[in-house]
This record gives sequence, structure tokens and C-alpha cells, in this order.
Amino acid sequence: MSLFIVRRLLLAIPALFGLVLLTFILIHAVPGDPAAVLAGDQATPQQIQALREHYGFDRPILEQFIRYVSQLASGSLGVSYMTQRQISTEIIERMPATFELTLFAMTLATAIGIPLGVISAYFHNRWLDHVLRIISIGGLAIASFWLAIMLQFTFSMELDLLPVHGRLSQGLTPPPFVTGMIVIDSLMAGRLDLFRDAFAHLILPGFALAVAPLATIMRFTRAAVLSTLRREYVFYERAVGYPRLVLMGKYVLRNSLVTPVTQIGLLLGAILGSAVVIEAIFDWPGLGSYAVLSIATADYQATLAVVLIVGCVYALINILVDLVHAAVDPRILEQL
Amino acid sequence: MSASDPLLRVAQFALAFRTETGLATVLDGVDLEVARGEILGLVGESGCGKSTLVRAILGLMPAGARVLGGRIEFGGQNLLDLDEAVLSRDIRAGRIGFIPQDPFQSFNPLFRVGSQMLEIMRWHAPPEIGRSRSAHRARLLELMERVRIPAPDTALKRFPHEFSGGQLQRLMIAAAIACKPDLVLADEPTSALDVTTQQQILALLEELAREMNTAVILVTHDLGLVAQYCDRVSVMYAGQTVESFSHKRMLEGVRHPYTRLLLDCHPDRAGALRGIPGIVPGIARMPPGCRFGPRCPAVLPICSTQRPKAEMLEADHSVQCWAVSGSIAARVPADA
Repeated sequence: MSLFIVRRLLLAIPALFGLVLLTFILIHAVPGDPAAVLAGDQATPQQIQALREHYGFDRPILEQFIRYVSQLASGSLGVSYMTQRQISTEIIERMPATFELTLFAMTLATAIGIPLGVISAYFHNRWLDHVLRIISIGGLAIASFWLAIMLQFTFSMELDLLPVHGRLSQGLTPPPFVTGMIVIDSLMAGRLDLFRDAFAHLILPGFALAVAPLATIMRFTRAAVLSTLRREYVFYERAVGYPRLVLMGKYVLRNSLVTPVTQIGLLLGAILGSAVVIEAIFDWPGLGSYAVLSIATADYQATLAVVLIVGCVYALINILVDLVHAAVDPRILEQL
Repeated sequence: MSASDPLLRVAQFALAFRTETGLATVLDGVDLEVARGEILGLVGESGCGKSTLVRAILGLMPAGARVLGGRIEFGGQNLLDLDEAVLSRDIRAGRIGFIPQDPFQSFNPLFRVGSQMLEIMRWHAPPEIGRSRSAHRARLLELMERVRIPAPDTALKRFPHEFSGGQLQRLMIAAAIACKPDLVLADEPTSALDVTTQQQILALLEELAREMNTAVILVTHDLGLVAQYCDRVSVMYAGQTVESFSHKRMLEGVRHPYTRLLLDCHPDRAGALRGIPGIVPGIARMPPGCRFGPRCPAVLPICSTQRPKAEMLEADHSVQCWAVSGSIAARVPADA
């Protein structure tokens, strides 16, 4: 098992290398001169040229790439051109906010999506199933940025129930940094008032982010449960009188988990992408808004760093998904 | 058998499936009786409705099935009057045990065999075994000893894929009798196993059934097996019971042309393996009159227009065939 994890981690390295290469090429393929942006509107061509030489933007792309990769290999994500701070520091400051938001959204999506999927399958082709399926198609079709703005409109501006943006209300100081996720840190510090406030801030962006994956998880769960229900062993379990709730909630559910778990893993990666938009709308100080900022300012080392981090998270999630599969199915465990 | 008080009595049971072209009658006037402690062989080709009948007794008819008439009396109660929840709680496993066709497919692959068998006992163990998990475990260990599973203690903790087919089917037998049912339905319990294992499994089933005075309905297409293990035989063809007789009539006394052909299909008797020309008619296209007519070597004109009535030849022998009725073949039934 630990051998399996090591092997998978090693296999992730070439994939991440490919990711960096691709992003590097794309960044250099789109127009935009970091030196010009850095120098500002008033700069003379000589100043821009000086900056270009200082950062090595005038070197051949291959040389720049090699230099970047060797810098990565030495363990540094580089320095932001804009703020002159270590990019790793900036990312560590922002990552917990994104994790808090995406984990909340995925927990919501899973906790609601799986039961709804099971219910939908159980009432296969009856009215409840149809209603749930129509709602889930709506959830997939809806644009998350539109939903986010509508939620802000309704629940913050009209009804004044929930905060419009940010992670904490004005005037509150965040709890001592432990995980960086305010909801968790506030509980660890025993500050229920902070927890309530931070949680209220999470609800709207979390829900806006959760709707699409919720619909996906529900649909995959429904399909998986339907295929499990056709299995011979489910017939046997009914024939020997397992009570309905035990049958559905324990046996059928567990047999149906492999596909949804895979989907949840993939969605966790995808949701980091949608978080870019949601974070921008809710002014959420996470990785997504950092990525937007870095692209807008042609701070390409920062952009690369975000892509790399997201790639690493993705790779880790995939290994985690395999481990969860092994936990669900003893036959897979034997193969690890 | 004591005709006065059978354990199970299926009388004129008729069942139809909804198809695109309307209702198709799959079981049509099935009559069947099983006395306490009796082993009944239910014989016929694939597609003649044996499995459907077994499933109907358990109340597990597929979606779209409709009972057209008749009764399934078990212990003085018409099972057709009971709803799914009651059948599941009061009848299955506790009073009617079930041994499935394919043990590989009928154990849930994700759960230890012990926990699956204990789940049955948890809901259906009779009071004399006790309510506690340890009592159930003790009973299971004893049964596993009886069905000759080596090292029962560790076997309970193993997963289905760690057993051979024969072992799995022996576990199924243990599971079927664990809650001391009055009747066990064995749906072609050996068709997924190899020939040498078949004999062991059936010998074991017979031994345990006799010992516990449990009645068994052994569904099979193999008349040879029936000859070895069954007290009585009912032959089904195309959804109808065509002949019923006791074990002692088995070799020489059978009268229905279909039964005789089935006997000839056995290579031990005929020397060479012979088949029956033609196939069982599809449920949507049943011939009028006697359903075996189109394939029957002794077919009479009346066979294509009128269904033969059940005729008692002896106290232990009834048959539905115009040709057997002999001199009365030409006689028009009173109600026609």
C-alpha cells in the first residue's frame, strides 16, 4: 500500500512537468510584455529594456524555461514581479481561503447529492425521480457566476440575511492562524461568534460553487445505484428479507460508491477552476483571485505557481480517490 | 404426502408480464403442493417459468408483473394477500429460505460473508436461537461446520471472492437454513458449479433438509438429479404444470410425452444424448390448446384447440395430456 502511494507520487512528477511546460508555452504565446507592465505607463523604452534584461525576458524561451525549472527543482516558486515577495508565501496566505470554500462546497454537494441520487434511483421513473432529475439538469445548466450574482442580490441586498462578500465582517479580527481556514480556526480558538460570522460568509459562495457538482454527483449516484439494483446479489438480499432501509442505505449504497467517488475527485479539481470566478464575485481572498490578478499583471511566475499548485492538488486527490476505492472494495485493496 | 394439509399449495396460479404488445401470460394455471419435510423437484427446460414461480412464491415478481388469479397458500395463509413489507419481515428467510442459482453473483462482493449471513439472522432468527449477535454467531459457526467449511471462525471474516463456487454454495445452504425455515427454495442451486461439486451440494442439501425436516423445492432442468434426491416431481412446460408424480413412478410410470422426452434427454438412459426438437414458445406467442402440442410426438387434433384438464391417474400421479387420457381423448369436456 505505501509502495503504491510512492509509485503514484513518482508518476505524478512527469505529469506535472508536462503541465508546467504547457502553461509556460501558453503564457509566452499570448501577447503581453511583463516588463512593460512592470515599468508602468510613464516608462521610457530604455527603462523597459533594462527591466527585460534584469529579469531575463530577452533570453530565448528554452533558456527561460530551463532556468524556471531549475529554480523549481531548488524548491522555489520564485518572486512575484509585482509585489517582490516570495510567491510561496503569498500562496500559503491565500490557499486556506480557497480550501475552505471548495471543501465546504464539495461537502455540501456530496452530503446532498448522494442521498438525492439514491432517492432518485429508488423511485426510478416515478414522479419524485422526474422532479429531481429536472432540478439536476437545471443545476448543471445554470451558469455559476449568474447564480452567484442572483444569490447576492436576493439574500444579501434584498433580504439582508447574509453578507455580500469577504470572509469576515468588518471590524472582526481573524482567529490565530492554525489551518488558515477561519471556520475551523475559530472553533479551535473557542470563538463561536467568529465561527458564526465566518460561516455566514461561506454560505452564498459555497452554495453557488456547489450547485453544479451537486447535480453531477446526484446524477452519477443515481446511475450507479440503478445499475447496482440490477445485480444478482441485490435480488438475493431482498429474497432473504434484508429490510428496505438497510438494503438501500448500507449494501446498495456501498456498492454504488465507486463511480460517485471518482466523480467527486475529478470535481474537486474542476471546482478549483470555477472558484476563480466565484472568488472574484464574492471578493474571496483565495487562490482564484490571486490567479486572476497574476494574469492581469502578466506576473507569469505567479500564474505558473498557481497552475502548478492546482496540478499538485489534483494529483493528490487522484491518489486519494484510489485509496478510497480500496477502502470501499476489498478486491481493489488486494491489487494495490 | 398428506394431501389434506400441505405446507405450500399453489393453486391455479396465473401470472402475466406487461409487454409492448399487451399482457403475456407466463404462468398459466400452475398447481403445486409441497408437504412438510418433502423434497419436491420442479423440472422443465429453461424459460418454462420455474424461476418465475419461485420468485413469485417469495413475492419477488419483476416490475410489470401482474397476478391474474390463483392462490399461493403457505401455512394456511395466501401469500398473494401479503404486501412487500410483511413478506420481507415475516416470510423471507425466517419461514421460506432461498438458495440462489449463482453463488458467485449472489454474495455481495464488498462485505464479509459472515456479516452478510449475520444480517439475515439479525432480522429473521427465530426466538429459540436467541436475539444476540453472539448467539447468531454460534449458530452460524455450527452450521458452517455442518456444511464442511474449513476453519469456520476465519471463514466468517473472509470476502466472497476468497471462496470457491462450491464453498460459496455451501455457505448459501447454511444461510438458507440458518433461521430454521419450513421451506427452502433452491433455484437451480448447482447450475453454476461443476459436475463433481453438484453432487456434493445436493447430497448436503438433502441431508440437512431431512435432518431438520425442512421441505425443499429443488428447481432443476436435470431429471437425473431429481431421481436421486426428490420425493416427488412436478414437471413444468411453458408456464403450466403438466405432470406430477412421486419418486417411485419416476423411471417407468411417467405418462406425459414431454416428461418422457425429458427423461430421454438424459444420456444415462438413452445411451446417446437426445434433445427435444423445437424450443419453448416465447411468452408473447403461446399456442392455443396444449402448449406442448407443436413439439409433441403424440399430438392429436384436439390438442391444438383445447387445453387438457388435469387428470388424476393415481393418488400420487396427475397429468395434463389428451393423449394420456386415451379413450377419453375424443370426449369433449363438459364445460366446452
